[in-house]
Amino acid sequence: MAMTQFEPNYENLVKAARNIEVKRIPLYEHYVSPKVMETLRGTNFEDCYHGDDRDLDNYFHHYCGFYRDMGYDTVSYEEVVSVALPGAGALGGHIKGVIQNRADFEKYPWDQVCDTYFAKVSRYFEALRRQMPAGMKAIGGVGYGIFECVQDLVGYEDLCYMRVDDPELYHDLFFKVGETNRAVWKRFLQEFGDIYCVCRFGDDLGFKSTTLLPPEDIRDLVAPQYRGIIEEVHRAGKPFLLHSCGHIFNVMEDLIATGIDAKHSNEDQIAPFYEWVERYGDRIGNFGGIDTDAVCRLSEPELNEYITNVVSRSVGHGGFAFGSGNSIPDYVPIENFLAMNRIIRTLRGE
Amino acid sequence: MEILNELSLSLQKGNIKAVQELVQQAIDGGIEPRTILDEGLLAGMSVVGEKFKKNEVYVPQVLIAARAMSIGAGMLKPLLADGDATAAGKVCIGTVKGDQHDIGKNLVKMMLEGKGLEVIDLGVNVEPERFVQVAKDEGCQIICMSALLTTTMSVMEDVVKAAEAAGIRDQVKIMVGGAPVTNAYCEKIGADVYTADAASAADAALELLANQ
Ligand code: B12
Repeated sequence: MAMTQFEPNYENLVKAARNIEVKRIPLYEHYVSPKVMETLRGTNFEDCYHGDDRDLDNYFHHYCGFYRDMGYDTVSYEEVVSVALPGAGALGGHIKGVIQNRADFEKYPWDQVCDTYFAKVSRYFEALRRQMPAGMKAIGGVGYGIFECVQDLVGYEDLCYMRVDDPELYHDLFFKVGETNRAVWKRFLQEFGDIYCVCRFGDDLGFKSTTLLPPEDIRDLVAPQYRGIIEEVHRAGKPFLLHSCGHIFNVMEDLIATGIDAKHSNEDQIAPFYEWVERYGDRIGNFGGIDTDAVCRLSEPELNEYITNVVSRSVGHGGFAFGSGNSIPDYVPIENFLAMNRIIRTLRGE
Repeated sequence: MEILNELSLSLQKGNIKAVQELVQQAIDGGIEPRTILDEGLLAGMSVVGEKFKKNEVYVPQVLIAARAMSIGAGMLKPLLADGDATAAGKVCIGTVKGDQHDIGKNLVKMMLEGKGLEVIDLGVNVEPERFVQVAKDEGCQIICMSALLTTTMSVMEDVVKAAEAAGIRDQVKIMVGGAPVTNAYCEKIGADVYTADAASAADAALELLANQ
């Protein structure tokens, strides 16, 4: 194959999301730690996120520059909706959820979420727009899916108790979060849709052996909310990518029925990437490839063998975009990330 | 006994009210507290564990059953005779240093308690030395560690080494689990048992204790 110089073209990722195979396999990461970006850019810029507009321009200059220089067609970027959810943080913060009963739910300032969100984060999206490199667009949007927002407000274990102690409240929460997030997405698409080519949120529905909620809850309570948001995304003419970790085969049919165009996240303890491709590639695009665990631990020759194998088994099944199965957190050794990047770029003919 | 069967079924559904009523009825009916615990509560929890292994019930159903069990067990505790009150074994559990994931760890804890073991929960982000110190001070027969990240998995090896350094490695068994952990990794770091799910973890713990 002739070697070519990389020029980003976001259309490639759009095609992959629309389940069309692209010869120059597009690269995708759900998240890359700014620490990793800083090392590769040779400069510290993470703190600029908290500065004025000039700092923000510097932040996004390096942020976008990282993706362009590493051979991506798109910039992964989201602002999580929880910044506008007062008292949220029970998902990861080991704190008690702000909503535990009907009274908490009733007095919660749902109708302010949308305005608060844009008041807080519009400047980031605006800076992203100013710094977007030629040929590129963003992938992402309003971060945190439905289940994650509900957990951030209630806490996972308390949510499990609420499921039996107050099933009506349990039900209403998913619908309220769905309605609220849909409004945020709608305005997001109006105001910032131009810089985004693929919309996405992450909503980890599963873990090592199955889903975190019974599948019927995902079908009846979570999926309808996805459908509403995906309708908005489709109305804006864009494909939708769902990122969900875990063993979620038991709900994949319900998720595909919501209209998702593509799905990301894979772990070898659950199933190798090509299994997702083989099972669902005829209907949706598949994003991912190499388990984050493998990115951390394999030597370069092992990475080469792993990636070559995954790619060779993934071609011919519709659209796919390649990257880690989850993300590049700050504990991924830089050399390994670079090796993975080199290997896939050589494979795709650069 | 019919009432214990009913108690087990109510526990499986996580029905706190029914569990409380049935435990009280059983006590009033003169059934030995130890029998109520074993054949009502723990028996119910075992069924839940088996179903969880086969993905027939999900984490929320396990959590509510465990909650009902701890309420029922709390009613029995003051009534258990000294000898009867002793747990089948003592375990300390935690998520290793650098790691915040705790849902799996909590589930393993509940399943161990569901087998009648006493469990000391060290929480998340636990230093290697802490596992060893607590095991030593409290006389735990088993240390259980949960790790969900590739980086934090390596802390498990530090715990194995710390147990060796403290001279207690031959007195404690070490169990490991979590998303990226495998049996091969367990063997590599010199831990004793890996299981893929919480119910199997509890079975394995009982087996370790039986062989000690
Ligand atoms: C929910 C979740 C989170 C939540 C955690 C909430 C909480 N309070 O625990 C939040 C959002 C906070 C989170 C954060 C992060 N996460 Co996370 N997370 C998950 C997810 C989706 C599910 C974990 C879970 O709760 N499972 C539910 C329980 C019931 O399952 P479990 O823990 O596996 O436990 C079962 C068994 O493993 C076993 N078991 C567990 N412990 C033990 C112990 C013993 C002794 C035994 C015998 C058995 C056993 O029994 C349990 C029940 O059957 C997993 C995906 C996955 N495949 O697991 C990713 C995952 C663990 N996260 C991951 C990552 C990368 C992160 C972050 C770094 C994200 C980021 N990019 O910033 C941070 C790290 C934070 C930190 N320092 O710890 C990666 C790790 C990759 C890797 N190999 O390193 C995973 C695997 C996702 C993926 N697709 O790759 N995460």
